[in-house]
This record gives sequence, structure tokens and C-alpha cells, in this order.
Amino acid sequence: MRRAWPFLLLAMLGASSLQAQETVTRTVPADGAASIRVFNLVGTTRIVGWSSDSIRVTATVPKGGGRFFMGGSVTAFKMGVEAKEQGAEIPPSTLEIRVPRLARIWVKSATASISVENAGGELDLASVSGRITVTGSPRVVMAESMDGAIVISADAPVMRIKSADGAITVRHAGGDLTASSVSGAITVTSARELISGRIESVTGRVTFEGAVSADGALDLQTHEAPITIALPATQNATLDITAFSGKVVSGFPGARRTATPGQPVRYTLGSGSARISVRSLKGGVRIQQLDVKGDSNAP
Amino acid sequence: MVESSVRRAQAGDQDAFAALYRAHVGRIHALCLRLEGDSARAAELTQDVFVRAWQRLGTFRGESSFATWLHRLAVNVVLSDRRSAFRRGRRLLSTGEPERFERAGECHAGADLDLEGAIARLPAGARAVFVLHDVEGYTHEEIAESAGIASGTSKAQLFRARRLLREMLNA
Amino acid sequence: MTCDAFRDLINGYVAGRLPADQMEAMARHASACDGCRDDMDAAVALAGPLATLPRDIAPETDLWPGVARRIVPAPWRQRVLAAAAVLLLMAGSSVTTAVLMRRPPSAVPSVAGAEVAQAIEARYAPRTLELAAVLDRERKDLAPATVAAIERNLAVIDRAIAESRAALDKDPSDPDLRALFRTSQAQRVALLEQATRIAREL
Repeated sequence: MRRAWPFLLLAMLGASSLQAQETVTRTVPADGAASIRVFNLVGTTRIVGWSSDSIRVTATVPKGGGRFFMGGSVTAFKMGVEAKEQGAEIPPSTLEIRVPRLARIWVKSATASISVENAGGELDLASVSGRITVTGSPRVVMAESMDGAIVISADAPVMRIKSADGAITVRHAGGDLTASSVSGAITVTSARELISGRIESVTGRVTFEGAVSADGALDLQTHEAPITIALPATQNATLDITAFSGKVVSGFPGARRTATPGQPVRYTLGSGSARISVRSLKGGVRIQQLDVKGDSNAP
Repeated sequence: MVESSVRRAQAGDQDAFAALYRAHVGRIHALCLRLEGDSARAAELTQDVFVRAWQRLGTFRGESSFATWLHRLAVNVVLSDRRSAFRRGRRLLSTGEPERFERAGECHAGADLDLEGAIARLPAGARAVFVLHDVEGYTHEEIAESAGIASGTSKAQLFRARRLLREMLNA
Repeated sequence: MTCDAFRDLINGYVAGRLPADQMEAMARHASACDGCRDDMDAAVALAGPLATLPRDIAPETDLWPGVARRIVPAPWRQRVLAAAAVLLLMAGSSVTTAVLMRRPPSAVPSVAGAEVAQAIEARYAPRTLELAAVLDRERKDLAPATVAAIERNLAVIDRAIAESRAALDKDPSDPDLRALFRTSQAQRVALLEQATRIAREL
């Protein structure tokens, strides 16, 4: 482990406002687990993890796009594009940032898209309407958007994903996942077994495809949207389903159905070990079986 | 589409309210213009109606159609404006601007243009009752309640209006 | 037939709604009464032109800008209160809240529907209102598109809150209905928190 550098306040680099469109590249040393805050309202922010203990930023800021800034110490950086005027039409800036793979990354945007690749640390990404994309294997993913789509194709043990209108797609989920939206559709597929999941939406349709671990718990809830659960044939689970005014349909061969008045409808698969609970006030619920290829066997 | 516009406007969405405005302004403006006779005042009143509608949106419960609710609100705005103007001593016996109808966008030659002009020439009280009863379809009881007059007065004004209009159309 | 009765039937006559014997009675009265005959003739003469009056008359200039200037958007705090449709639990009546929450479990099954929903709502109300108030102050710093997005989503959640509350009022002991209502309340807080973060940090 490298000895931490003494606190070194780097001068504000690239602080002069760029005249026409200009591209600047800066490289600075950084601690392997540095915390990096990135700020870019409009355009594109792309962050890629690498094995070097340094940060390299390439910033392209058009005329009128604002001022690129960067500063901090080796353990804590702050960088981005500071827009001059609020509310005016801001032309897009592009930030391409290479960061130490285990860095803690925090990104804020308004309409700028945010993409993070090959990161292994903790991610905290927030946009208003910019699209958020994550690949790699971060430790923690927190992603939040108003109406930007969020696509996480990453195997992170802890994920907290939230949107209002934006559609949420989580692939290769496993571990501990919370995904919630107001009206954005939520689609979660798990590659490994999900240990703990909570997926809820007000009016966005919810789809879960994958396996839940034997001691796992999955909770799916909507106010007024259909819920679809597709589980592998080998899944052992107890599903308790309450749909107040929607239909509950099972296309899962071998599911044993128990309906007791006043109780949720219960489907038991195999030994019933995993606990899955499904609730919707006005949406319908469908359970189906994933076939061997991993595709749902029903339309 | 309209129903969701109403709900969204109730939640504060101004774009949805703008859509409602566009859908209903012709009708409301026609009402204000015929009741008032004065095109500048009618434009002001039309705006007052929509501002009041925005403020009162929360009270719309969907028991009637939004158009009906808005129309009733417009009648109340125009008639209470007339009442308060009277209290302020403004001259109310303007006989309106018949020429306005000659410039109206939807201009049909012949009978109804004469009728619009004739309505504008009616005395204010008779004009209000005629427009509300014969053009807009309110009952005497409803007119009495909105205008603060007796329903017998409303009936008398209606017949007076009709006779005056017939004379004007025959002239 | 009196003149008053005659006049009341004129509209029906002009619309062709009267039975034959009434029409006869009217014709007899009209032949004997000049005043009523004039009233009838006037109504008949106007029927045709009235039918062709346009329903809509567009204003000469666009009046919308004048309307838009005068419309001040309702503050979020006010709308949150209205949407809750619950008598606001202000600081003074937090005692009521505390009493409701500490009710012994045995009393729960007999608690009236509205009280269950109220108790759940009371847990979220202070934070909801606090956030709505902050958001009202910060609103001017938000882009119009963001404000519209917040409004849009808040409306979806408010409707869900109202519907799940109505369902819970009917069956207050159902744990799933309680969970659904709680979730919708929590989602409103979460949206307001998200909106506040955007307002403060962007």
C-alpha cells in the first residue's frame, strides 16, 4: 500500500474559460481509492476505470459551454464543467475521465449522459434526464434519475436504483438490489442468485427474470402496473401474491396453488425456501418459468 | 385526452391548462362577448374566467363535464362583474358594439349576423337574460340565481328581449 | 289558458315538444290575446337565426399570455396538503398523532378505517411538508422542464396515495393495503427528496 501523499492542494487547472471549442487533457496522480466528484450538466460524461494510480481527464468544452475546473488532493478530487448561466441553452461538453479502478465516483448531471465502465469502487450517479449506464463490477451502485433511462449491466453486490419516469434496466443482478420508480418500467434480470430484492413502481411495469437464492427474499410492488416474474425450473420459492383488482396467472408447471380467503394467493415451488412477495392494488401478476436458455416461455 | 388534461392541470401542470384554454376559449369568449357586447371588455372577462378557473380547479370533481363547469364559472364571473360595476356606478346601459360582429372570424352572411348585431343592441339586462336563456340554454331559475334577480323578472326580460330583437330584425 | 301559462309553453311549442291538445289551446289563446301572439311570433322568428349562431367566437388576439402571466402555480406545500385530504397535523396537534401511534395493539382491529390511514400518513406528513416547503423556496432555481417532471410525477403519486387510501379506508386491517399505502407515502417523500437534491446541487 502506497503511503498516502501529504495533503497537496493542486492549483485550479484549466481555470481560464476556453475561447472557442477547446479540448484540454490533464493527468494527475491519485490515490487508488480516491474519491472523485464530477460535475457536468449538459453533454457526455464517460468514466473508465484503469489500473493506474492517476486520473486523466480530457475535457471538450464548446464556446459558451462554461468553464472547466479541476482541483483537490490525491485522495479527493473535484472536477467538471461549470456553466456560466443558469437556464440558458447550454451547449454540451464532453468529459472523458480515466480513474483508478477502485475510486469512489460521484457524478452529477442535468441532461448529460453518464457512463461508467470497468469501475470496481462505489458509484453515486445522479442525473435529471441524462441516461445513466454502468458496466463492470462496482462494489456499490447508487443511481438516480428523474426521466433519464438507467441501464446497469453490472454485477454489484449492492444496488440502489431510483427513477421517476425513466426506465430502469438491471442486468446480472445479484446480491442486494433496490429499484424503484414512479412511472418508469423496471426490468431486472439476475445472473447470479438474488439475495435480497425490493422492486417497486407506482405505474411502471415490473419484470423480474432470474433466480432467487434459497434463503433470499424478493419483494415486488406496484400501485397500478403489471408484474411479471419469470423463475428457473429449479427455483425453490414461496410466492405470496396479493392483487386487489388484477388477475393472477401462473404459467409455471408444477407450482402448487393455495388460496385461502382473506389471505394472499400462495404458489409454492419446490421446497418453497426463498420468500417472494408480490403486491399490487390495480395491476395483474403473472408467474412464468424461464426455459433453459433463459428466455421466458410465455408471450 | 381532455380528462387527463384536467387532472394534470389540477396537479399544477400549466401546459395542460393551456391545452384546456385552447379547447374552450372560443366558447367562453363567445359567451362573454354576447353578454358584454364590448369586445375589449369581453377579452378581459375571458381572461378573468380562465384565471378564476385555474384558481378553482381544485373544486372540480368531475360531477359534470369540464366544459359545463367552466361555462357556469364564466357566467358567474361575467354577472358578478356586472353587479360590482353597477355598484361602482359605471354606466351599464351601453348597447354594445354591433360592428364587432361584422369583424368576427366566423362570419356567416345573413340572418345570424343580423341577430348577433341585434343582440348587441339590446339593453343590458334583457341581453343577459336572452343570451343565457335562448343562446346558452339556462333555465330562468338558474339565471335568477346567478344574476340575483327573481325568476319572474328573468321571464319578463326574456320576452322583452325577444320582441325587441324581432323588431330589429324586421326593420 | 292564462297568459302566464301560455308564455311558459312557448319554448315547448317552438321546439315541437307539445302534445296536440296543448297546441290547440295555445292557438285559441293566441287568436284572442295580442300580447301573447306577439310573444309567440317573436320566439318563432328567432328560432331559425338562433340555431345558426356559432358556438365559438375566437378572440381577436391571443389571450393566453395575459392568462399565463396571472397564473401563479400553486405552491407544492399547498398541493401536498390538498392531496393528502387530511386535516393537517400541525405542530400543535402532534399530540393527537402520538396518541394514535401509541394505541395498544388490541385496539387496532376496531380502529375506524380513516384513523389507520391517518396514523400512517401522520408518520410521513412532517417530512413531506418540510420538503415541499423547501422545494417551494428553491423552485425558482429549477429549469421549467424539471419543474414539469416533478409535477407530473407528483401527480401520479398523489393519485396512487388517494386510491390506496380509499382502499385502506374500506379495509383498514389488511396488511397488504397498509403496505401499499405506506409505500405510496414513502414514494412521495422520496420524490420530494430527489427534487430537493436537484434544486440544491445543480
